[in-house]
Amino acid sequence: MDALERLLERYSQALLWIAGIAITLMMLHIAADVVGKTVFNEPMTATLEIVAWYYMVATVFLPVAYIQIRKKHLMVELFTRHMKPRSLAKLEGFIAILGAIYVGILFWLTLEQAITSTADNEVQDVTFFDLPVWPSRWFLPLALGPMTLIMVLQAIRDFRYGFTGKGEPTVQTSDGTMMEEN
Amino acid sequence: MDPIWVGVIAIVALLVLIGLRVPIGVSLGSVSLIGLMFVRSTEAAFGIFGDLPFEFGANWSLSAVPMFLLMGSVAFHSGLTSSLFNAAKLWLSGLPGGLAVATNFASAGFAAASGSSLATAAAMGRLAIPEMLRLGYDKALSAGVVAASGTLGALIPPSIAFVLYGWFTETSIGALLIAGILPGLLTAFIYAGMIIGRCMVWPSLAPPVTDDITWKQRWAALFEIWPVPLLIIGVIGGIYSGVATATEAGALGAVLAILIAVMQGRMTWQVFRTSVMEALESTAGIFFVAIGALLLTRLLAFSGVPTVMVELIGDWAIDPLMLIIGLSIVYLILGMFLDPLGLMLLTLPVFLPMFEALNMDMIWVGVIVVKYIEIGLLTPPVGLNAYVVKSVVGDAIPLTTIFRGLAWFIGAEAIIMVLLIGFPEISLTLPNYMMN
Repeated sequence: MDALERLLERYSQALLWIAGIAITLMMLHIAADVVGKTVFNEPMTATLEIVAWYYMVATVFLPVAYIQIRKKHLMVELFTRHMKPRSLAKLEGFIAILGAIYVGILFWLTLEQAITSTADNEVQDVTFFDLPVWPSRWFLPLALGPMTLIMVLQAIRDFRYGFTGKGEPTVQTSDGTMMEEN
Repeated sequence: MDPIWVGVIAIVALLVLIGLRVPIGVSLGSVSLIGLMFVRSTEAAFGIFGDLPFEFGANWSLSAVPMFLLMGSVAFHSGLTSSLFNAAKLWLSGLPGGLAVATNFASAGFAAASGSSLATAAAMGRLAIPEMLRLGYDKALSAGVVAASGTLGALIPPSIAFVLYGWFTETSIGALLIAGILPGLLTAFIYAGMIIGRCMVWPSLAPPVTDDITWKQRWAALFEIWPVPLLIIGVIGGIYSGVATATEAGALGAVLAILIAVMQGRMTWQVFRTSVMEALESTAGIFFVAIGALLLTRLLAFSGVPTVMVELIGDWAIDPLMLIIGLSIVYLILGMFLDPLGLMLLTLPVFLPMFEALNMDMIWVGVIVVKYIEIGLLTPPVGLNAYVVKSVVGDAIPLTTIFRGLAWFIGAEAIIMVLLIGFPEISLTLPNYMMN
């Protein structure tokens, strides 16, 4: 299990790096387009489409698995802050199972979409050419699949600690970190 | 089962799950998915569920979210904003409660560059609180001013809250960002007036600063912060003049922040990497919640909850002012335990049809909603900004003292809200000029 956890961590980090490249390219591409439009009266072709269908999809979805490893998805801690560590671990285990079902269904549905889209060679019509969009459909299942697995492993870890007291839970009580904000 | 009951049960189940620390995105999404299965069919629910995330993510308008977040994290990690407090201190410390006033305005400037309430409170807490305590300032005042003025981040552009609100309500994001400027400044000035007034009545709150400050020092400090106005003018000016859309202004702002950091010799690989990672974590976290909120919108639409709500307005002859007051109560209660963006994404699907039915100005409503979600950062028990300040000061100031200090600022907020609700012009003048 440890080996699988390490593998998933590396994989999630790799996805995060790709997302990092995407967000950087998004910034440069949009800025170049604005400068081109205003200064040289020469916009870059298909900026809007490439930003939306590639950079945005990568930026928005690829980091989700890594965020799950760090347990940084937005949540409310207030009412459960004073639970005993083992009760909290049991609760966290159930939450991770619920999350795994939700994300797992999402993974399955987006995977189907990606396969269909690839088989149909899905394209987006941009004025001068057809932009293939099927590759970016794969960003979702590629991140959501591992995220599901991560949640299952986290549930196992939490249940083990919650019911037997062995190992370590995925969260410590009152660790102070609550949630991210704008 | 009557669809309307599915909608109502879904909302109750949602609040229970969120209370049980289920991630907000998972709570919203799973409740909506099950609800859609009841109201429509499993097939229809899966159809919506499979399409929606990608369609939502592949979104040109919302690319302003990662861009503004990147600009903010670059400005923060490259230390672009830390000299603001020094400059404000040198210029304003002569006033009664001068350091607190300086903290307040430095936060406004910091917020304009970073766009984040929590980052502003954390950074200002580290800089300003030790200094105020050293000079014998009242603990509650010192902590209160940092926590409260941090919330200026969501009003003064760039503001992620306005970008998301604009997208969900199909309102011009550029106009919303511009609309936030005057209410943001109004808040900063009313805070300042309140601090000065209190320190004149009770001088013991803030012993006068005795350091000799020369004009040369003042001008030197001002010279050091030149990139901040440049960044602000770049972003706001770009949107206001129409050279760039809100989306484009975000990317330009991020490039500008990086260029300034490079020119000042503050940009390292480490700074860049940290900034990008932080922007990514926030972006993906926000979108994960937003997808759940969109699903809830679909469920509520199918279950007919909005229609019933709109009918209720007609039956009770509710006018816009009553709705705004009802809205205030809901936001103040939910704001006590939800984080700002989660709160906004959760409530918009329910409130939006009512705003539309009453034909209210969506820009004005946007300013009020954003204002309320920010007040939620200050109210106990979960005033996140109070916790941020607490985590910065450690054992020096107890949490109850921080909330005691915040009570004065919440009082000031009550006055600000009355002004914003009573005089929509405060919010609407600038965007009206821009659009003409």
